[in-house]
Amino acid sequence: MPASLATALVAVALARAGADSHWSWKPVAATAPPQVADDRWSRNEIDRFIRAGLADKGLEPSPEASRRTLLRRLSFDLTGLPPTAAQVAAFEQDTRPDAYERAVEELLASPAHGERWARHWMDVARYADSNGLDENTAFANAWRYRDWLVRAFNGNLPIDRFIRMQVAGDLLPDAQRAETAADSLTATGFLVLGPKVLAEPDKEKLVYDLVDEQVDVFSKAFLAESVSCARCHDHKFDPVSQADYFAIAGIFRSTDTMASVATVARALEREASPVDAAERRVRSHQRADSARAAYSAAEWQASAALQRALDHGTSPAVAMDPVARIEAAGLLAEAQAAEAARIPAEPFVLSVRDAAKPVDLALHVRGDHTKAPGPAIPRGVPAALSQGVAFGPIAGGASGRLALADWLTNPDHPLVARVFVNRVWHWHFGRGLVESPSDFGTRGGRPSHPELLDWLARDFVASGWDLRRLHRQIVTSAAYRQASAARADCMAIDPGNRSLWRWTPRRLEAEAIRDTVLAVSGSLDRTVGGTLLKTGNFDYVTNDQSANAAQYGAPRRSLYLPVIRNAIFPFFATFDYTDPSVSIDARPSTVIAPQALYMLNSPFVREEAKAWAARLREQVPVAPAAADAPVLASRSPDPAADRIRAAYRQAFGRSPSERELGAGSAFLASQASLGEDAAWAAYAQALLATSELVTID
Amino acid sequence: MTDPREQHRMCTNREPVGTRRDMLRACCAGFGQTAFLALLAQELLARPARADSRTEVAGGAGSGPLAPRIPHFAPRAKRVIFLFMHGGPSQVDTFDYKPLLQRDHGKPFPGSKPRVQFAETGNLLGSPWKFAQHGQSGAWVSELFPHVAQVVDDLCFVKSLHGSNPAHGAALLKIHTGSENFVRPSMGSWITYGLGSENQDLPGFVTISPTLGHGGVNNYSSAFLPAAYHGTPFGVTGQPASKAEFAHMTAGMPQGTQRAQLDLLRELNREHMARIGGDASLEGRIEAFELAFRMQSEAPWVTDLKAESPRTLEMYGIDGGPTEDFGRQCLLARRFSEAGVRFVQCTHSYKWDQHGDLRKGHTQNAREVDKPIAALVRDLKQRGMLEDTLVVWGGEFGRTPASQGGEDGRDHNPHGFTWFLAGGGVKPGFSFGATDDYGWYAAEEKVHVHDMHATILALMGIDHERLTYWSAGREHRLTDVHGKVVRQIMA
Repeated sequence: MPASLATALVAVALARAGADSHWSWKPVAATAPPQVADDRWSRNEIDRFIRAGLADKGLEPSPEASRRTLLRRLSFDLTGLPPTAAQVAAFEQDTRPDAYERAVEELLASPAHGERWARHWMDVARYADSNGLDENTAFANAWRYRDWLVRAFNGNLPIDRFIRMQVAGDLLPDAQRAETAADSLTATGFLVLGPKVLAEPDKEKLVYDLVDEQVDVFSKAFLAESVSCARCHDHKFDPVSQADYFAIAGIFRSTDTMASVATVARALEREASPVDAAERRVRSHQRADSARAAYSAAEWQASAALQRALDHGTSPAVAMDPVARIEAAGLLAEAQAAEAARIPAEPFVLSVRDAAKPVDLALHVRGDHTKAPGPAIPRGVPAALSQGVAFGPIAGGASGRLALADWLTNPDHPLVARVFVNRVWHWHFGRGLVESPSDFGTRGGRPSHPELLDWLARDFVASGWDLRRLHRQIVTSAAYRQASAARADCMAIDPGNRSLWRWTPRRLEAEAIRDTVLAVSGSLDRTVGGTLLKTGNFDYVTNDQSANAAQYGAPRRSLYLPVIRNAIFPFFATFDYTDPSVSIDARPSTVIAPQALYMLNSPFVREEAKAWAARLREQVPVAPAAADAPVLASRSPDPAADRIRAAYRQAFGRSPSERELGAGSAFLASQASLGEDAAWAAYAQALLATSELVTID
Repeated sequence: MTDPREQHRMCTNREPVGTRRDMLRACCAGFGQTAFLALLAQELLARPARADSRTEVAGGAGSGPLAPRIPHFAPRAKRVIFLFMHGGPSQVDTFDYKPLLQRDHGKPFPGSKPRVQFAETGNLLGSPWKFAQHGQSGAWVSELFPHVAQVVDDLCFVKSLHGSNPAHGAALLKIHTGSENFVRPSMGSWITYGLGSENQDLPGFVTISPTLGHGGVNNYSSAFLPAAYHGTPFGVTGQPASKAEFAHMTAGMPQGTQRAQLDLLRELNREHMARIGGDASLEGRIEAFELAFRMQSEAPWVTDLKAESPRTLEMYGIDGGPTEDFGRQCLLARRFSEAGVRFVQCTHSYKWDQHGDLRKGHTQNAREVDKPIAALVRDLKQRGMLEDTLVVWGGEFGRTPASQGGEDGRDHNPHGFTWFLAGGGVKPGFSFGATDDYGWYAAEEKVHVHDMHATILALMGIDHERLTYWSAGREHRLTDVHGKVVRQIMA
């Protein structure tokens, strides 16, 4: 390596290591939208930041995309589903000045919106319905956490509460109120959903590893920092020391996450009701049980007396003690009343509780729990990551999670709002202002528009962490509405489109591809919520002889299909699904042959193509071509044309071009020997396999 | 692309870079300097690739994720066949002969047992099988493996292997991915990522009859590596190998119709791409459909055993008897290797876990695999393929020399066990390392699972410290921060 390069590399490293100057740990700056020379393009503040950035590079924004394209983009983005042909037609004809805003509101109000955005967060929360790792047992109540997410996004739960509930929901006053307890406890499933080595013979290691997993997902999700790096040594690049690690790990070590660590270990579940309600329920069951026992005993005595009377040939009426009879009747009434007063059990949810005895952890050499421990480190947080935001104190006897939730949602926290706002931007545009949404450290990406990120973060906090408002700001911006066509001049200057001179086209995620196929074919079942997992709680979902209890045949939205670690639904695995064992901030988008094979040969796609073809035949019957009927010159003579048009409207929300029409007709004619149904099914399948169907452009 | 877990576990022996002083110290530390600068260089190289790595594009030979790539140094092997014995075969009943264990049968183990055991164990249990020396090399083999005994002069035994965890799931993940508590790319994924494959019309990493238990798919997953390096299953454990196939490789319509469908699709996709303007992933998508079509014609030819002579089928034991299933797996492995697949794994399903019924269980298991394994080694040799094909045999751990549950069972033992390798640049007729006198702990020339990984990569021409992938904050490798190449077993 030449000396000059070595010097340059060292300089880069020094700059990187300069923790004091690293942008993400400094307070969020109060920025204002810049003045731009020509402000006619801007629709809101976001656009002024974007326009200024474009001007710096000498670029112009792209024109607005077509109505059809915009509605498709909005619909995929906000609901994960394509718009129906009718929705596209209505929007194209809506001439009201606020037609676009109305479309946005309609989509935000759809139950599908929460389903779409819950799935985004599930990537971060490494959601799964099974443990994975060594012993793949079912989390049969995990879906309650997923359904809570759907409700939270559909109900526009303020994001500070969203965060607090997931870190410390069981400790909030809400956990003690009948109407809010269930959600409050359910949200803490976030901390429990991780994969654990359930057959780990070294129980101490089992617990240390699960605490480590919690530190990892927690710090990535909310702080975009990999604190768990510091389990074994001070963080190589960011100011997180090993002592910092054990300080934060102590908080989770002081939290109970497991019901049992004996092989095969089980995660903790709690009844989704306030503690005193649970106690009342237990007492009601005890009362009913003892009343039933009292009645049974009395009845047994009475019938025993009857039996004796029969045995000795005396009259039963004489033999039976009338007092005993009356007594038994009274006890029966009591038992019935107590039975009726049984309080039904609330569902159980994956949840945590503060440990009976909180502990401060000792620093272990190289993170190895068997190595001689050093002095205990008081529980706390890495101070360098949140300059000027105090943590604690931790109340006596508490784990520190509540203090952690307070610290995270302090309006002055430099990271939390920035991180969340950036994730939302990432999910809208396919890429964040910071390209590594879970890594804001010195090795992560830099914001493309730092002032915009800070402006959004401050505005978000000031609005009361109002996510709906943030969605509206982003999707109604001119930046968001740009066309996707590549322009040669811009491609030369900014091929990666970091400055946002156009909409970056991208492929749909695995779930949206499947949902779109089902929506177009007409098979999609829009039922909201519930579980499709048939496995008993903590039973094995997969085993060593490759049995797999998970079923994926239901035509429900992909969100509701079981997420089985170690054996992901093959369709999902093929299309770059998340790795549900770890917190994932951005999914890759690969193009590989197995995806093509799936579209060509899987029974799923073939069946849906058939179903769609049958539906099209019903909707647009082709009149048998009468040989003597006059053919109008302006009309296509092809009897298939109308049905092809209908197919295009349903799949793409548009009419086919003449060339597309011709290609479709030619294909159908060439396959006529298969018979109408098979030829149309093959044609429908080709349309389902097109790039256009699965591209948000 | 970001991943996963960038836990810097025991990351490195480099100085931490925190302050200017740390920095200077790191730079003055000799080895530290080289490694540190290499790290920075990697980082700079890795960074621009990051945005691109979101979109991996399949293509013909010369481009695309499976295009053959030049190794770091001259490889000794071009391909790997891993014969995985799920459950943990006992070293002291197969290849690791221990006279003292026979002598002291029934006595307490004189050493100390591991701090953490999977289950309670009793006194020493001598092997119920007789051992004898075989071949020119005089390798000890028990009567469980009469066929393998005939090819010992082609084998290289490593008798001092050791791992980290005594539970199946964690141990499987460890030997396949190098990590037991994080989801990491499998060895086969790393190798195809590093070298690509020699056949662009087949997957580069094929796993025959893999298990869904004990880590399941994560044992052959590409984790944060691009999906092209994911192991492609051919059948699954529990299903006879004669029924195994690749998923979605059979067209449900006449070939002419599918061709016409693909032609139509290409036209529609090209038109769509033209509207948006050049886009690598849309172009890649068009090519992926063509590749899929080619795969459909290539795969059936490779996996059809009808082309094999009756003599070959007999040699592998494909005769409806106990050797039928693993025989098929081994013959398929040879055919995939011949066709240019980079990494093939065969899994002898979860049968070797004899906590009890050791005599019956190990006898049955050995009978199922012994003849096919010997046939594979011979077959590769007679075709001139053994010299550049690395065959690896082994389980996720061995078993304890002490008994469990009476006198006919052994517990899991990750502390000392035996694997053997053949071909691909290893010393033939060689034995390396040793366990203690009773076969419990690796004692001489210890080889950790990480060292085995480093060695397999080295035989493929890959420096395990340089085959890295950037994911969420750091470079990752198969051996994490461990691994020492065992040069002594290289020919």
